[in-house]
Amino acid sequence: MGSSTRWWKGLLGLLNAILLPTIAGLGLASLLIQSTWLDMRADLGALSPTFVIFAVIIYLLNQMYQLDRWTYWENKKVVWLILLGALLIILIVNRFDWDALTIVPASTLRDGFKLTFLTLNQVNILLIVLLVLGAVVSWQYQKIKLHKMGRKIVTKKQRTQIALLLAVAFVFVLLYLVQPGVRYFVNEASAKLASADIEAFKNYLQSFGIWAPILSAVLMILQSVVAPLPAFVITFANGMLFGAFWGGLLSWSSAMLGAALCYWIARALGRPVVEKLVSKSAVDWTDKFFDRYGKHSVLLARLLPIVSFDLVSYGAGLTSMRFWGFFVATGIGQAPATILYSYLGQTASGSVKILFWVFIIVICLAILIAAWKKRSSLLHN
Amino acid sequence: MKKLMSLFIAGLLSVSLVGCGAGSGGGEQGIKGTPTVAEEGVEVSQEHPLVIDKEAKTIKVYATVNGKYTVEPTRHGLNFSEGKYGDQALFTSFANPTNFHDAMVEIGGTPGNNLTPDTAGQQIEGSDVDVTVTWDGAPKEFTMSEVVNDSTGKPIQYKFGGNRERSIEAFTGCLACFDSCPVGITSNSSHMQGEFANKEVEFRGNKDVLPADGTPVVVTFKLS
Repeated sequence: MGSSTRWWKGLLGLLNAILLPTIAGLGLASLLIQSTWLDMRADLGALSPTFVIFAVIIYLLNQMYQLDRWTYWENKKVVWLILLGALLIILIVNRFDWDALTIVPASTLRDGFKLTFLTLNQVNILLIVLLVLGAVVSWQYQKIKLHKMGRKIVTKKQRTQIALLLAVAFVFVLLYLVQPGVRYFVNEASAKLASADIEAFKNYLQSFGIWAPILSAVLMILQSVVAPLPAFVITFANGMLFGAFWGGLLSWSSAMLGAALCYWIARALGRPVVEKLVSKSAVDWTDKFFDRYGKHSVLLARLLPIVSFDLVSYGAGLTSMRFWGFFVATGIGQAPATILYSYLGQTASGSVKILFWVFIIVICLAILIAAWKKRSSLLHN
Repeated sequence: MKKLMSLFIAGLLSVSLVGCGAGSGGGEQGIKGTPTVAEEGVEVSQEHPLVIDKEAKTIKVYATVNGKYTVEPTRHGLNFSEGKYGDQALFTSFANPTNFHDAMVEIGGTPGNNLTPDTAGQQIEGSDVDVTVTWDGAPKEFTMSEVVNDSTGKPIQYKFGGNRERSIEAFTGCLACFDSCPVGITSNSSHMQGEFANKEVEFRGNKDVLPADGTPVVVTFKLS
C-alpha cells in the first residue's frame, strides 16, 4: 500500500471518528433535552464533543493495538443506525416543526462545541454538511476497507485494563463537560491551587530548613541510581525553591554525586548488575552509543536532554574510560541544562508552576501504576 | 529493590504535595466570576453590561436571546453567561448577579430573602420590580409577560428576592427566574417555589415577538 493511500485512509478513518460520534451525540442530546429536569441541569450539547474525544482516542489506540472491535462506528449497520436514528429522533422530538428543527439541534451543537461566534443559520449549514459528509465518509470508509489494525497484539487482560481506564476517563470527561456543577468545581479547585497553594508548597518545603536541600540531594542521587524521575524535574523544583543560583548549584553538585555513584556501581559490580538495574537492551544501546562517539560520548550525552542521565553513567563505568575524564565531561555537559532548568524554575509563572506540579503528580502516578503492574505480573507468573 | 525505591520516592513526593494542599488556606470569600460593577451615565452595551440610574430607579442589563428556549421550556429568565446555568436561560446576560444585587439595593430595593432550598411551595417576597425588554428595531418596550409564554396564562410579576449569599455560593448565574426562587436575585412571584420542577407550569420565549437567536437585548428592571 502506497504512503499516500495509507495517508488518505488514515484521514478518512479519523474523519469518520469525528463525524459519526458528533451526530450520535446530537441525536442522544435531542432525546434527553425532552427531560426538562435534565436540560435544566446539564449541558447536553457537550455529549457530542465527549463522544468525539473518545472515538478519536479509540481510533488512535486502534492504530497501535488490535482493538478493532471497539470502533463500533465503523460497522456498517451501526453507521446507518446512527445516521438514520439521529435524524429520526431529531425530527420526532421537534415534532417536524420547522422553527424547532432550525433552532434546537443547531443551538445544542453550538453550545456543545462552544461555537458561540456562529449564528444558528451558520450552524444549520454546518449541520447539513456534517450529515452529508458523515454519510459520504462512512460509505467511502466501508468501500475501500481502510480498516487498519495496530500490530501490537494485546491480551484479554490488557484489553480489559485499557477498557477500564477509558471508561473511568469517559465518566470524568462526561461529567466535566456535561454537568456545569462538576465543571465549575474542578475549575475553581484548579484556580485556587494556581493562586495560593504553590507558594504554600514552597514554604512547606523550606520549613524543613537545612533538610530541604539535603532531601533534594538525596532525591537527585536516588533518581540517578533508580531513575524513577527525570532529573530536570528536581532541577526545576530546586530553581523554584532555592533560586536559580543556589538551586542550580545544588542540582549540579548532587547530580555529579549521583553520576559518580552510578559509575562506581557499574565499575565495581559489572555488567550483570547494571543489566538488572536498567535492563539489558538499555546497556546494549549504551554500548553502541559509546562505540560510535568514543571519548566524546559522555559530553555529548549530557548535552542531549533525551539521553538518560544514569544510563550514560552506568555505561561509562562499564568502559575503560577513566573516572576523572568521565566526571569532568559530566560536569561540563550537564551545566547548560542545569542552568536553563534552574532559571526556568525561578522565573516560572503561576500557570507554569501548576503545569509542573501536575506533571510531577502524573509521573508519580505513572510510577505507582507501573510498579503495581510489574508486581501484579510477577505475582501472576 | 528498584521498584521499591521508585515507590518510596513517588510516595514521598505525593505526601509532600498532599501536605501542601492540606496546609494551605483557601482564597478570600467574595464575588464569583468577572465583576461587572454597575455604571452610571453610560450606554448599556456588552462592554458596559450593567447600567444603573439611581434617579429613575432603573437598572439596565445587556443580554442576548437564546433561541433554544423559544422552543424548549426553561425556568431561567436571565442568567449570567459565566454562571453554571448560563446556557440554560432565555436571555444570556453579561452582568454579574452579585453586582446586579448590589445595584438593586443601590436604587432602593428591599430584598425578600425569605426563601431557602427547603421552602418549596412558598412565594418570593421583596420589592416589586417591573421588568421590560427591548432591542434595536423593537416597536416598544415589551413587558416580560409579552415576551414569555406562561403555560398557565398568569402575568409575570417580579420581586427583588435578594439571595446574595446563596447566589454567590451556588453561582448558578441567575438574575431573573420564572418561578419563586431561593437563589435568583429576582424571581416571578406569580408562581410558587418548585412549580416548574413539579411540571405545574412551563415557560417559553414568545417567538412571535422576540427577535432572532443571538440578538442583543436590553432588560430593564424598575422599582415599582
